[in-house]
Amino acid sequence: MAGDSSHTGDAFFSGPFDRDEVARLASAVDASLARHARATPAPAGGPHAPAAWSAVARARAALAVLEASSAPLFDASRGSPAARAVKRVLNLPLALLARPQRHFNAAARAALATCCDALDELARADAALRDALVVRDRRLAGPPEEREHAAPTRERGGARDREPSGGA
Amino acid sequence: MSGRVFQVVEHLRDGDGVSLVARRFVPLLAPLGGEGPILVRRADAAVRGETAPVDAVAWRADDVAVVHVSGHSALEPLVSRLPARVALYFHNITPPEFFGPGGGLAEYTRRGWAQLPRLARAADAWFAPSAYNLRALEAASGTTRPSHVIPPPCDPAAERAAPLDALRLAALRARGETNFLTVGRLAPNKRLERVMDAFDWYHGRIDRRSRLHLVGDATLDPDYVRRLLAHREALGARAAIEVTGKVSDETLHAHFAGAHVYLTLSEHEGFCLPPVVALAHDVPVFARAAAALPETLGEGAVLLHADDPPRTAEVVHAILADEGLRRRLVAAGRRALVRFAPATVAAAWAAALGALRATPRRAAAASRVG
Repeated sequence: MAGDSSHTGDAFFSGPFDRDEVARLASAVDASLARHARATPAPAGGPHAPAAWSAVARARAALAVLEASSAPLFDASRGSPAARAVKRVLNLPLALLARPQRHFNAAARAALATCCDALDELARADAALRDALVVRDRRLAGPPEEREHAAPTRERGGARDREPSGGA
Repeated sequence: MSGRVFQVVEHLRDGDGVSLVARRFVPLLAPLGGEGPILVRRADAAVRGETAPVDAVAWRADDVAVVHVSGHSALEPLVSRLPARVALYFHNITPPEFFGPGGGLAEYTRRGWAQLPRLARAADAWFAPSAYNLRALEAASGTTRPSHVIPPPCDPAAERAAPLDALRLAALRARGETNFLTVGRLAPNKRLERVMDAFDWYHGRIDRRSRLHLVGDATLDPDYVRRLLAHREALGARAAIEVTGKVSDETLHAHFAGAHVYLTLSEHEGFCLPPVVALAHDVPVFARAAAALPETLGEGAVLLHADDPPRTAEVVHAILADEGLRRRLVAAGRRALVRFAPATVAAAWAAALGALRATPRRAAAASRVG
């Protein structure tokens, strides 16, 4: 880090700010932390997290497990040296005789990968629909002050927000 | 400058950090003798066109092989017999302690660390994206080699002009929410559950109009992903935490363009490119001051010096709520990117390769000639 870092030994954070500013921010953070700790968090609301994304993660996790499997061969990279040696010997006939199983495994992997891709697309469509619903609901039911409340966030991004530059 | 330069990656993947770094180096190495194809043993279909089989090269004594290492490498036999000069490009290896005992990843990384001293000694020079990695290499191998820090390039103009998923970006902006972003494979060293905890505080007690997007491959560690998703379900903010899985480059760029905060609480990184890309998109970055992250981000980000999710959320809020501070943080991020300008990185490559070629091959290399 640069020599003029605002980090001091006991500071929680550092950054491109001078020490006085960090001290002021730290005090504000302490006060806000205490205030928010006393408050009850807002209840969770709105639609549940899109289930499709979880399904994608679970399906891809299953695919990863299948891809990492050495079946029908024994995994000769694991176990004690003796176990590895035994596995290497056992793998010799399996390499010749277990080809149908390997073909089956490859087909299973391909099928699961296809399912993952399909789930991925479904999840995207699901997310797009939810986004559209949120926008519609806000337009139909949101009070005017709610739209005003959203303004700071948009302003924050406004400096960076840009039109898509291509692709898609 | 004579001689060819080859990058060697055991498995070039579509979307992972190591592969991305190697691919970003290709145009910078071309004027220095770099051969276009990255040499591989395996490649994902999407990037196979950028590769050639490592066994297909007729090596010459004045060649340079830049061998990328990020775990246990099947390239060790090749490294030990190459007649060319060998530079190890060390991305670091996640300590096995982060993974469940007895699992494949723990074993893979443990074997990687065990192999590392041999690879390090067989190399003529060490390159890395951070000095942190070079120190780790020296500590692991108990020896030294001529070393150079060569970070991956990041051109803000190119990042911001990259094609993006316009629909995704529109969706990210349509809600009018503060978008938190974390990018990277879902791995335990990233401490994504702590990112969720920090966001849960922010969402539940500071600003309900917020959403956390965890973008990255979820296939590396299925057990961790299961725990992470279960953790999310226990949080009040669960409805506002999206785990996208691996996304296309266009969707990823949309996430960077639509983000208001980039937050990483990772405890082990050898460099970490995503927050650098976030800086290029003028996104304020908040990062745990761990491993190489302080070196990578320098004064361009807010560094967090303890594991305290609620306080992390409050710091994020304090800076986002003060437009002057936010702008200064973004400006500092832009200044921090100067070190990653393509011309700067190209100069680092030229210096490193020039020094390597000017040095007689080490005894190890000479013995490789046989």
